[in-house]
Amino acid sequence: MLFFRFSLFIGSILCCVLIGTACRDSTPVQRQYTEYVLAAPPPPEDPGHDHPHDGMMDASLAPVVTSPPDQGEAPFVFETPEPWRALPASGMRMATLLIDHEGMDPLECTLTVLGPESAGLEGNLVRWMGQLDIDPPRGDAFQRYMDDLERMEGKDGLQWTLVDFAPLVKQDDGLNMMVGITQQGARVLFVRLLGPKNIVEGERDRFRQLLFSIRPS
Amino acid sequence: MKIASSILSFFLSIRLTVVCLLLLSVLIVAGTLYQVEYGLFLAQKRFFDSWLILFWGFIPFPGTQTVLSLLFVNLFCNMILRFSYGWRQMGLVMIHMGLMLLLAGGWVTRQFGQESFLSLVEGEGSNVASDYREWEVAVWKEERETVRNVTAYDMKNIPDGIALPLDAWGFDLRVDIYHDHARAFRSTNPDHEPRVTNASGITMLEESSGGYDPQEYTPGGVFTLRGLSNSEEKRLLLFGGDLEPTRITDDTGTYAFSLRRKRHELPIFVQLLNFEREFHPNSDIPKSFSSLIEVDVQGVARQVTVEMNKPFRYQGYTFYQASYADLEQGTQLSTFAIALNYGRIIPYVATAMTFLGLAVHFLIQLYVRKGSRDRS
Repeated sequence: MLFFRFSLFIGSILCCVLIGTACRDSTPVQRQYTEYVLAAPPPPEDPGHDHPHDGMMDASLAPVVTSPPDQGEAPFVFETPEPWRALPASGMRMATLLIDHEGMDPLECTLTVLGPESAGLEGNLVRWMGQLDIDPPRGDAFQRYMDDLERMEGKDGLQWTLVDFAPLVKQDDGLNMMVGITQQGARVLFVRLLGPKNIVEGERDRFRQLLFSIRPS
Repeated sequence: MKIASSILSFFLSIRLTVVCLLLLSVLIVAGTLYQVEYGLFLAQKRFFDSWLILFWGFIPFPGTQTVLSLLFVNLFCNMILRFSYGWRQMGLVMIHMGLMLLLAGGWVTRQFGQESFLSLVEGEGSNVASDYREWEVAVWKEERETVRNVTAYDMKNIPDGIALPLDAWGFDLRVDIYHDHARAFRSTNPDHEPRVTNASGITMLEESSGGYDPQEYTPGGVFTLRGLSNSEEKRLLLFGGDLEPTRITDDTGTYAFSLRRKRHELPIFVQLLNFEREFHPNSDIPKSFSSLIEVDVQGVARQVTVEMNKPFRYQGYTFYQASYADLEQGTQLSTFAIALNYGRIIPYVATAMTFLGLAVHFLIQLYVRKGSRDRS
């Protein structure tokens, strides 16, 4: 009797597993649904732009219903250095430039336009250092580090602040980041190149060439 | 008979319970360490959703599914075969039932649970949420601005060459090439005549190796649209990064084609009325953020505030305040993580039952011992 009950129990589990497996059909299943879309009211001014910004949102969670960024209305224009390749604007990014290197995925150089409150240099530096696993200099040393950052004038009077974390990256094969920051009115442009230290170093001239080509549209 | 007896003894053994608990501890520690480098998704897939794990590629180790199934069978066998079902065993039966219910609840959540997100700009509203990892090809006829009758196909494991019939409009979409993760390129030659139609002007796709988590993937594919009223065949390039659908017009109207995150229909329409946030003094670190939403259930609207640690629940759905973003012109975008879990109540019931079982068992033991002491 005991064995009968046990066999019954095991048998029912096996049946459930088999039925469950059989029900998993691999042919594509058509789904139909009704989607109701209520668009946001247009902003009071400058309705051509709606680039989301700020740090908490994952780019993959960008709004689904938005107007496409019009290349002609981008706040900055630039020239892609040869042989870098340009990808279309996407989400928060004004552009993504790909840098090919043999034996590895292409490096990405991103151009992101954000609002004025994103321009805080200290907060950004700490965040980027965190991403690169670098301990930020303490106290006055941090202020000196910020004061010593390279500043340069670009096209049409754009004032650039250049950040290169290379001296702070200890390992030769560690990650490094080069960033160019400029502000034009209420828009802050971040140009970031992230990758292995030695490769980013090799792209330094092209990175600067890109910054010098950027001007307000 | 001897073999059956051995199998039964194996499933009834208390040693099996102990071994299962030890294996679970190992799996939890290994999964926790693994996720530091490879992320939550991969750790979950490798350690907790699997039946068998190969450590260092060749050492087999039971996955969490195997261990939990064994534990379930062990508990069940003990409950139905070992217990005498007298009043003295009542507590133990309740404990076992509670633990089994807990395991069953985990299974229900895993099989039927659904996780998605909804991002809304202030003023925007929708009745569909987006999946984190799965994508769909969605097609609708553009008739009204606010209502879309969508026909969609899931793109998970879709083979190249398959035709996706769109019977409502009398045409079909053949999948020529599909990449789960792709990079898109525009032509740099202005004289180049594109051979594919795409809303963003993309002319070429390249498969990309991608990262560990499919959540970061952006798929792309080339499709052939057949059976248009003018008998023309159109090649469409659909890319997950397109911000607008690709539109095709024939004599019967304009149709929109979009490769987008799989949509899950919600039982309610949600509109974001206002988003507010508060920062810690002199810092950019948010202290709290909340969304005021209007929820429309079959024409009846009510306003609800969703805050961090204060989700909104409706039927089996739970809306969590997940993240936000500032947009230009002062408007804000709020993102809700939406979990559909039919077994949400099960862990509470199971824990209560286990606790009650422990209490009952303790009291029964106390009574029995007191009785035997009095007798002696």
